[in-house]
Amino acid sequence: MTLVTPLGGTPVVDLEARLVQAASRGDERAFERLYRQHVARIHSLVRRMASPEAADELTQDVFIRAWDKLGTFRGESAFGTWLYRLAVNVVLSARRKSRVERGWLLDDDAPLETQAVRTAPAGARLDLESAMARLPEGARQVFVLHDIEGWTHEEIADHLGLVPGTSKSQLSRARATLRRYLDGY
Amino acid sequence: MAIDHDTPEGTPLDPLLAEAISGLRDRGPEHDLWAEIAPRLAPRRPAGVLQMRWPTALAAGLALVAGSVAVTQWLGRAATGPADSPVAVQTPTAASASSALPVVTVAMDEAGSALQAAITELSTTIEAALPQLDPATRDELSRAMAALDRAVNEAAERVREAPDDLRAAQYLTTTLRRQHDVLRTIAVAASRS
Repeated sequence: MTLVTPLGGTPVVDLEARLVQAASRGDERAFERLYRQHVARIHSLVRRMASPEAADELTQDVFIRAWDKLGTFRGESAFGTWLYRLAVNVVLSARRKSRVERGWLLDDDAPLETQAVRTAPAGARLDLESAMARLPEGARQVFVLHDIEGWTHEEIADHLGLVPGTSKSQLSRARATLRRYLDGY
Repeated sequence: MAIDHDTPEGTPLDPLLAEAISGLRDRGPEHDLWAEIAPRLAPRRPAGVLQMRWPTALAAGLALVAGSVAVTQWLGRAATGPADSPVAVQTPTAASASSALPVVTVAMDEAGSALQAAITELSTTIEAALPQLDPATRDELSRAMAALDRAVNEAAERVREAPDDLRAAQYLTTTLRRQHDVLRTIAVAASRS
């Protein structure tokens, strides 16, 4: 494990590993420290992938799931990486559940094609997060995972249950829609 | 997260979009979520203790028995060792057989003896809790406990018959450990009922 050592300070990764160990033994205060270290990153990921409205609840779900599954964390990757993957799975799981409850059978390509491009008032600041929130769910998730989080199409396809070609086409259309939106500023 | 947008697999990102992405910053929730998370964290259980309700605990005990009979028979077929054995087996006495929790003593190595001592202690704890249970649960529990004892007896008998059979010895140890785990689960449930 690589240790990141600030000048004269405690190794960051080592401290995190100790917090993880303590939390896995039931130390809630250690887990709270982990929460505070990672909540901004996780909340941002969840907000972008799901929606601003659902972000708080899903973020809570991510940390509760992490608490339950800490025993399975073997330290083969950084805790943050493990938590981040868990967050993606929580969001995708919520998406599947939502689709079943609402009876959605197909992904949301059609809304992406037919959606009116709403532009912000002149002079408004460039706000990519607002623009992403207007994308259909599937396209938004592909865009976030690929262009913001750096996943490959194969990884995305594997997690979203798509073929890589669908991931690519979703990304292409998401980019085009966002570009049209941003052009309105 | 900083990434290379010109990865071989993808088309280059539009400069305007790339600039917008690079301007993204992580931002936490508007209010602290910890106050809502903390009460939802399940308490940690001691290592090795399964948290089960009474019926599940009983089912676990019975499942062990069902498995043990089959495996013991298999061991019986596979056993080829001499009949003499340094392992002494005490089958339940008349007094213990009439009890709800018959005690079986198996002479083993030090670790096995420690396990057996723990099993005896757990049995005593459960026995003390039995009168507080409703009759139906008590009967079910007694039957499961007796079945567990029979499983251990059968395993010990195989060790006595084939003392050089490593699988028989391993099976006895495994059966004792499982009995210990099931009893501990039942003891925890009994303490909460």
